[in-house]
Amino acid sequence: MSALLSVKGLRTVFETRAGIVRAVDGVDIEVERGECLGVVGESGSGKSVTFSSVMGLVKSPGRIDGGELLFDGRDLRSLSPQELRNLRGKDIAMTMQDALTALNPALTVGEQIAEVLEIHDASLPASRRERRRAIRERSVEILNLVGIPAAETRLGQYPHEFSGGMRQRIMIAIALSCSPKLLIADEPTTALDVTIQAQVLELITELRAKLNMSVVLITHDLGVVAEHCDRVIVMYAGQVVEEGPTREVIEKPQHPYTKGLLASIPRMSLRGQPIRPIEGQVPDLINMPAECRFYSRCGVRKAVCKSLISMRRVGVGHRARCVRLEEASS
Amino acid sequence: MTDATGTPPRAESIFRQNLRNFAFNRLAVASTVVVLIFIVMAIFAPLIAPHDPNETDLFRRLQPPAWQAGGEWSYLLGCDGLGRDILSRIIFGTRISIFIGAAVILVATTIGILAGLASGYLRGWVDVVISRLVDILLGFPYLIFAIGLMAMMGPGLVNIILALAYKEWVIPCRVVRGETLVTRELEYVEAARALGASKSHIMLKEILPNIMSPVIVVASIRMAHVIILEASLSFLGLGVQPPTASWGSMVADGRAFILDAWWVSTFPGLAILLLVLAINVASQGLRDAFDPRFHE
Repeated sequence: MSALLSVKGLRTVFETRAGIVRAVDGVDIEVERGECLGVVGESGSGKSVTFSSVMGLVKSPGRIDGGELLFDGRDLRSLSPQELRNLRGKDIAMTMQDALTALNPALTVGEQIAEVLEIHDASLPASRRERRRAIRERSVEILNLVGIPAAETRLGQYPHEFSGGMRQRIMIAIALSCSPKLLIADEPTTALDVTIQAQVLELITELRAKLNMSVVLITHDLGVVAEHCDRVIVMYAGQVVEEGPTREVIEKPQHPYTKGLLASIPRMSLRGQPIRPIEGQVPDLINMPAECRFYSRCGVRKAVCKSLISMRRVGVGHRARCVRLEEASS
Repeated sequence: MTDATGTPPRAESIFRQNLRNFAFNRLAVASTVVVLIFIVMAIFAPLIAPHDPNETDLFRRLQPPAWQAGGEWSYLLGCDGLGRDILSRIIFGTRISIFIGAAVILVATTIGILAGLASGYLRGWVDVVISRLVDILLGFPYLIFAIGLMAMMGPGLVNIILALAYKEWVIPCRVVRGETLVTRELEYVEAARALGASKSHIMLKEILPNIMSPVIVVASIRMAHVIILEASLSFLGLGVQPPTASWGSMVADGRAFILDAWWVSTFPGLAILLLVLAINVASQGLRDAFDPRFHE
């Protein structure tokens, strides 16, 4: 069976006064059915924009400049706004980074879950009273699913009456209310403290198995990826620089950027030694020279890196955008 | 929201917290009571008024208020040039002021909300058209605009409401547009789009509930302005037609006798003052309670 989501050669640009920002420049991503894909990269690497493009949510002055987006065999770019809207929330759901600002403060949690069901669930009964009862039952069921106690009473409460972790759970509940095939979790844990992070990620992993959906976990935390993802994609300056099975990428990173990311994580085994950050800055996305994008920060660069580099195969499903790999493997 | 299980609703929206804040402002609450008294007066005018407001009695022409020589306690505030009871006319005049004020604000706010949401959320040419229209309307002096419209349409209750609402909607429209511009960029609007909500759904169900507080405050402040404008139109003879009692036309009626019979113009003038002042103070209180910048 073909991949659930297949992105080929995606380009998303933002036309600003300073010039054209190529936020996503030729990205290929495949999400298999039932898998959890981690997407890692620092701020501005294009990981969020890639998935906004998939959802058709890129805001002006941004636009998709080229590429192919196939979801479940349908070409997303050829869908009408109406068709795309029917797809969003129903087949592909997304949770936002900050659950405090992503929930509407003026509506109760129950109202916000009911909204999604009203928009997408065609199986609801027609009569108003039965409809309301059915929505209520579903809402309680969903809140129970994401582990919110006393769901009945909590439905009538407003977002500000919930704690941060609870709000993230509610976001996930809203995203899951129509049983999507793909859940895009955009940094679901950045606004949470570490213990709650673990709980929320556990929950996502557990629900993925239970509901048999695919999950894309956008994060900048490699630790999260190591624990929860089957495969990982590392993005840098609008490009995929390395992809492969999580274990392989973490144990045998090929691209110097991935190595740098892993080296900058504090570890107990390296106690007392200074953390080694990656020197330098992400290059300017407006005037990108035709060379390896990591050139200016790379510790192992050579003359060849002054030309465009393509993805090279490293192992089964493991590829990286670096000329150094051949040397390393040979 | 009532709970199916019968447990008392614990939820308290920000809106309700604001209302509670409002209740602590004594002056504002007192003003609200005054406004409510006027509203009750308007509704039950025929039961409260001691006399028929249009009944003329030439023997009582310009009869002074009760506490002056020649006054009678059954005609508390005296009589006008046609011998009509001023108190009764003021009580009936309340109906016109409040009805027109409320109707204009209702019509104008509804139009303003829809236009403001459309221009603030949809942007593009919709925004250009609506914003330019607002700019043009703001360029006209209000009263002259209304006088011109009344001259074109002719007098009448519905025409007054239209003439005032025709321009009044730009005020809520600008407020709503500004608030919408801020709110549309918030993450929960983005989240709603990600969940497949339609544009109208986002405008009416996601954005509108979040911007209602300033809209309510502006509507209440503007109501006082509209009441003054209606009185001005009536004063100029372009408002409600005689013999229907209206505060503005009562003030105008008394102009001829202002030196000999001060009460004919003064009492309806005081009624305008009292109602407008009460509405203003009450809406100031509303603003203080609803604007987070005034919270300590």
